[in-house]
Amino acid sequence: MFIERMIKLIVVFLSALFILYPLFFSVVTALKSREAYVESPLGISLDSMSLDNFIKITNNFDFIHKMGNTAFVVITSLIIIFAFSIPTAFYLCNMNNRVTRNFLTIICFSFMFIPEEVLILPEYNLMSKLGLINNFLSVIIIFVAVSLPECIYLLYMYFSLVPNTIINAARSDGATELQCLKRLVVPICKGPILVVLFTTGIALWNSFLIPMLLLHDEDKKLLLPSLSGLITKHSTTPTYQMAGLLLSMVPLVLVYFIFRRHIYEISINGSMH
Amino acid sequence: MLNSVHNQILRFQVIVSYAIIFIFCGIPLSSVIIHSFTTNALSSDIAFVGFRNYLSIMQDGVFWQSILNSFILLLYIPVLMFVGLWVAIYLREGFALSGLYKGIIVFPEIIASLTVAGIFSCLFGYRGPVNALLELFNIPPLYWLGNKSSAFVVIILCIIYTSFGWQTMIFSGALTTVPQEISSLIKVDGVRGLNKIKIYTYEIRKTIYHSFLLNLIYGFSSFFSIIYTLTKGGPGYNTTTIDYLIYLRAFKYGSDLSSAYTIAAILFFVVMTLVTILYNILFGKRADL
Repeated sequence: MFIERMIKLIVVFLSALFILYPLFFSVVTALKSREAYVESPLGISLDSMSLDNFIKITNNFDFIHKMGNTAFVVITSLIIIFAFSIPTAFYLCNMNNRVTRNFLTIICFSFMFIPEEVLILPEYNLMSKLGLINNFLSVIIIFVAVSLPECIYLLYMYFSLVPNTIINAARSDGATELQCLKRLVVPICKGPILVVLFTTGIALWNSFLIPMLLLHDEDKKLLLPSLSGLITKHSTTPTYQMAGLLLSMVPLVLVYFIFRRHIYEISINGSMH
Repeated sequence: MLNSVHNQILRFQVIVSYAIIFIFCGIPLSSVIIHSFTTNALSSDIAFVGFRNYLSIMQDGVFWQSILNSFILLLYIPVLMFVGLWVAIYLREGFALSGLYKGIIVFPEIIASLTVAGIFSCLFGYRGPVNALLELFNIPPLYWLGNKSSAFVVIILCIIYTSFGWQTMIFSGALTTVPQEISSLIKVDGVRGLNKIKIYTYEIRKTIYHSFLLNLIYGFSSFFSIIYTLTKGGPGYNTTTIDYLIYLRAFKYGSDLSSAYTIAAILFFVVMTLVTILYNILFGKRADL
């Protein structure tokens, strides 16, 4: 029994260390000077600790501007995605024709899993034909198109859990379909909707391939592609890199602490029993 | 009157959503498949060539290497699932500070995998802390990313780092459905170690099947940014996976569009096969497995 407990302790401790150490390392390194890092990459040097790297990077790199670009693209996409996926999911739930309904949900289910690398080449060609390269609109359109199937599908799964009797009662009281959606289904499913919103938002904020290929101009680049440029450019100055990587995490960490309770729900509901 | 107007609005939104999916996902997808059966994708007179593109891809050594690399990358799945289940069982049994622990392991979920890869490339850099640690044991420093097998170790560790929390939370969510009696029996009978894991594996086998399939699907396609940041597919083509090869063929030097389209089509067929199996597990006749 004692050995059992020790194993448990070791597994839990090591896995937590595995997750925490890289984060700890990046914070410590970002606070160091380059010389201190070369001298001992492992150590913490309290005396040379400074925010120099962060100040330098915000001055040279225009972080705020890039975060603004990303926030604009992600929030616009999210608004469009939810304006269309919520009603579509609701409509699918109330469809009487089973064959059409299954067909429409299977479309969403399949497109959910198609890798972005498969579609990126024709999408790029389409956008260059439309003359939208270097335009935020191209990224927004593709973000919406890629996320819609997943959002529709997940919301459909959640909405179909709402008991039909409630909606039918509202209907017989003379509520229109849109009112049923707005006054009943959305408030009841507020939690799941937030969860889907949160996961989609994170996925879009962290997506890399699409914005990298579609936006080239320096003042239009999104956060992650320019971060990748930073990693390549300063590969010999880890202190500088780490400061950049940490700054890029800040908005997500803030969102994480606001939504922390819901993240557990995501993971548990994610197993879809 | 109001009802019919509202119905019209609702129907309009549904049509627009499916139109967006059709135009910006459906048409590109069909163009990938069509281009994989035709001659040079750029010229205006497209001629049907049957399976010629596929045959020439089959003779391409780099293609086979990338397939092999994709399969090597999948080695992360058994490690991730085993450790995930193990920790999930511990979480079910409960331990001190388990709430904090959950908060810690879920955290990487929100960080971009590109960021994680950036941190890992420093950790495993030539002058990085891992080499410094090895030096303490008198092991000479390694070029972790300059060598095929060690580069894969770093990539796989990085993938596990990003997916560990997700996998553990899915398993611990599934374990909440296992009846309490089974846990009590395990405790009373003193089942230990691997046997305990076996029992729980059997209890949540459906979740295990479908998260295995999900991992397979993601394994073929979702780690582009990790490979891009850590190795750029190199050295040579040593860590180029199939999805990375599509990017190289489509957008990098010596781009070869028809081979890019063909590889994309092959990746699509592979993923669709896996998705069909997944759909059958979730909703098919074997749903009550």
